[in-house]
Amino acid sequence: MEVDALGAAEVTRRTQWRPHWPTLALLMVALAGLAGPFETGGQAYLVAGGAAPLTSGLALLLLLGAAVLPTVWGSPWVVPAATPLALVAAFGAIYAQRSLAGSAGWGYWLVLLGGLAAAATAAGRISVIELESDAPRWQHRMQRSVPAATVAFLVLLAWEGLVVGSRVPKGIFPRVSHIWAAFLGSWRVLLADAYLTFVKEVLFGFAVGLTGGFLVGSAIAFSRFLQRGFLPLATAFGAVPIVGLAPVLGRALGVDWESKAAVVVIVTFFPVVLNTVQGLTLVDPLKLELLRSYAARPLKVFFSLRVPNALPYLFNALKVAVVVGVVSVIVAEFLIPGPPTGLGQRISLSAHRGAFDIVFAAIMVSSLISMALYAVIIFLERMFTAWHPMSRGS
Amino acid sequence: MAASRPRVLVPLKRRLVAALPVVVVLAIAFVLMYPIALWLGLPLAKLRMDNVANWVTVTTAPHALAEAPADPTAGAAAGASLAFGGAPANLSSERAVLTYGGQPLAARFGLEDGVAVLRSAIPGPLFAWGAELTGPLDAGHVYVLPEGTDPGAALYLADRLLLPGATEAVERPDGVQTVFSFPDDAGGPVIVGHTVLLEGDGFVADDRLVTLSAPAPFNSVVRRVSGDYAVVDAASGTVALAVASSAAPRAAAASLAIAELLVGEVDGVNRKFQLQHAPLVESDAQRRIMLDGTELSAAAERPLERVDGGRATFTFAGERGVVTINGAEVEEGSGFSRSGNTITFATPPVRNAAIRQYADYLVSDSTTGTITLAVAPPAGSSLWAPTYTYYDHPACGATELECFLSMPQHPMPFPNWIAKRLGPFFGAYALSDSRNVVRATLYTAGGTLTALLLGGIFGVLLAILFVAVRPLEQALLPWVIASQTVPIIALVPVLLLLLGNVGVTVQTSLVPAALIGAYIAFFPVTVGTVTGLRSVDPLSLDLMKSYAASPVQLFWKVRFPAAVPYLFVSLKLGAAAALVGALVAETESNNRLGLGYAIVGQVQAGNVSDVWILLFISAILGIGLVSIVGLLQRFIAPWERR
Repeated sequence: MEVDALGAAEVTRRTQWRPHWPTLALLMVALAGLAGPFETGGQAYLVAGGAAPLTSGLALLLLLGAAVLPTVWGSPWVVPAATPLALVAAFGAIYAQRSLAGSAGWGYWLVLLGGLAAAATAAGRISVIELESDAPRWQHRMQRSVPAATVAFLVLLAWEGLVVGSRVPKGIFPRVSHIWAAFLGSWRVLLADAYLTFVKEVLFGFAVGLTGGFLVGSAIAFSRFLQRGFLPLATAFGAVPIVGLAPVLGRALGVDWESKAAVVVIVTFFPVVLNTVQGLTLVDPLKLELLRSYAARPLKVFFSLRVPNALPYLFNALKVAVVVGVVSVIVAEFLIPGPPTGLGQRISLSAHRGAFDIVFAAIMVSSLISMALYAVIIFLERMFTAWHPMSRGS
Repeated sequence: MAASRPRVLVPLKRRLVAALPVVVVLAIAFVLMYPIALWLGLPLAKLRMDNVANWVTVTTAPHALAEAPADPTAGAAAGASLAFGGAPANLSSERAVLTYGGQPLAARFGLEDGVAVLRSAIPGPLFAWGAELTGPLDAGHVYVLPEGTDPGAALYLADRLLLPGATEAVERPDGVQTVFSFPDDAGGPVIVGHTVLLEGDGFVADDRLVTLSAPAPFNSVVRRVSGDYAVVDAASGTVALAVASSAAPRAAAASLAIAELLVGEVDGVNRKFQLQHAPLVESDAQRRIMLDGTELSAAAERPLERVDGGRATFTFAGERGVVTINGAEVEEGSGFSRSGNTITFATPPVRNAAIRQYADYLVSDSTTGTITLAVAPPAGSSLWAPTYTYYDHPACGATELECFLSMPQHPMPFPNWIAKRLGPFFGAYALSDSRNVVRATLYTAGGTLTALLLGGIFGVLLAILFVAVRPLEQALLPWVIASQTVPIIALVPVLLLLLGNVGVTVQTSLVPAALIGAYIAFFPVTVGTVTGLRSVDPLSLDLMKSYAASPVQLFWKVRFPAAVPYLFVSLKLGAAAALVGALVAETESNNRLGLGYAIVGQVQAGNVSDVWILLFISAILGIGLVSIVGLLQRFIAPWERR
């Protein structure tokens, strides 16, 4: 902004003072909602009789009004400040709605949806910023994380707001608050289940599938004949659905955790074998010739060239395997009814009982742990394949 | 140089050579299935073999004279050798005793291979004839013992001892089955319940397999005569001979016989003895144990008082006996003290414990056949057991392998068994019947294609949105990835609930399968299409810019064609994923028209071979769907081959 200080400053000032119209309009819609009834057939919320609606209505008015201010400025760094205010306003509307009887009125819907949409557009404003390469790291982090985090809150508030507003009974579909309460009440049980499912079944099956797959893959990589034979069939073997395989394994290995670990072994085995074979064979021919010129024995070539070359492929397979493996182990626990431990069993039993809040709490635990496992694999990948061009650069 | 073979054969030969590795690997996999089946099945077979409840029971009886003597009243001199029918070869003289009429004889003898050589003379009589059996009730097999005859009496046909024996069929009759197999070589008539069936009329035999002309009623007992005769009905005294005979057999009222002694020191102090065969059948109504000539009773009596946890003194009717608490013997002196018929325990037994007093003897361990007597038999007396029942050998077979082969269901069947099931499985229902497998496969294929269509359209739209609006991608992509970590099978009940509330009949609709399949399929399509839309050569973009192309034109003419190959690769991945999702949804939603229901049904029915056939069908279905997508790619984008 040094060149043409006057002109540039004028341009910046003009763009700074242009309001962010989408967010502003949505906030106005939300404010209009305050003038409407939260209950069908009731009065406008702000003037509804009683102290509680009055104070909460005023609080909502203050929040939404405060949210309007940053959007008037228009700057990409200031508008997102409206996001938390709009989200809290939506939360407040839901909180107020919970204590009301009858079905929800249009005022409630306007406040809820207007507030959420305004938060979305406001948070989206941060993505248009073109950060310079020497911008401080917190700015990069903000740009990456704010939109995604906002989406999470949006989804949760929208879920809660819709379920509360539509007055869905607890047994039919749970609210986020119910799910949270269920989680708080049963986290010990869920964690014990998660230990059985993830540590014993997934990790053990993973380890066995990984070693077995690597050994078989290495064996196949040594023979061109086997390669040409196995690779077309690997898709066929991998296409056998878990739905049928799980009960067969349950019959063979009993209903305890061993059969579910076997499912994970099979699900891990085929991607690992495929990727190991590819990684061990798709080596740069120049490197092979170099080692040949060093008179390297095949075993030396294997350990110093082929195996490191295969590592990125292997981690690729592991990433696929960990996600598919977790899903498969839950499917296996559904289909091999055994002792009532393990996350899949918990979900199945709770679903049959109709306790869908525990179902969602268990799903949440399962997702979090599988995302954590995925992150561990990514970390290991960075550690072991940092030298690979794939990990360098952006 | 002329061509040595026709040109059309060369590509054929090349194709065959190219296919050879696949065939070899398939053959290896096929062969590997046998050891894997054994590895999985043999432990289960061993469990089945070791379970005593599955064993064949044998009831011992005193072994009577093999030949009825011409003069029953005469005795036998020292040095005479007498043959006893049915005596086992390993029965030694220390463990056997000669008996007559329920009394042991004090005779010394040597026993070898069922033949006793007397060392001291035995005064007569050695034999007494009983009544002749009435009959035959049919062509010569069925006879009836007269009223009052001991059903365990030895039977003689023309002075030759008949040995009883009957083996039970391996399979339990279910009311429908007509084919039964018998473990041991049995060759006589078949007895179903109390009815005797004759060969050629009631059944057809083929070595060890027997096909009845009418199915055996549910839960009846199917036996086959394996000895010389078998008792059909002990109450009415009906017996069936293995070989038809016009002459009626004759029962022996008494015969010189060899009976088993109990193993243990008879010295007036020892009270623990063992039966020679174990494990014993726990509740054995036929068990008889004799001390010299008196039968010992196995009866137990309860105390008069209630066991309330505080009381230690109890009164019984009898004044002697073995006292047990909850089946464990209590030592007299250290555990309790007795005065007459009152006993006082050292510590009061726990509340509601089972206290029993066995007047004569008690089976303290049926696995080893240990008997504990109340009073130690005096030295010189004979403690012998005329009859008792024990578990002899596993019914399924002599070795683990035999038991494995005779298992009704295997965790993993041999491939040839699966192949044998192919014909009946596909032909079970006509093509017009909705339960036909081919129709179910087509139904599931329809569901998968719908799921792929939905997932594909949604994925492509989402990808276009992501490429057009950068902030959306940053915000939503992590959550799209997170959505794939949610175990989809857990969401199926929720989805079915919602659909049910909306009014969709989930049992007959494709909607659950389509939605779940689309959920799993859309992710690879999105990721692949985004990569494809972004993979445009920047030079092309610059060129379009120089032509002042609008964004829409840019999209259709440059970005979309570049994305097509990526799209098809991800559609192939999505097809496999959609099939998995559709099957999962069908399994949980009980949609009778689909393949998932067939799989679950066969699993629950226990037909493992059919489950394997269905698995192969699903694998072929998956490959077929992927090939359909490949074919589609050939038509739409023939310039790319991936």
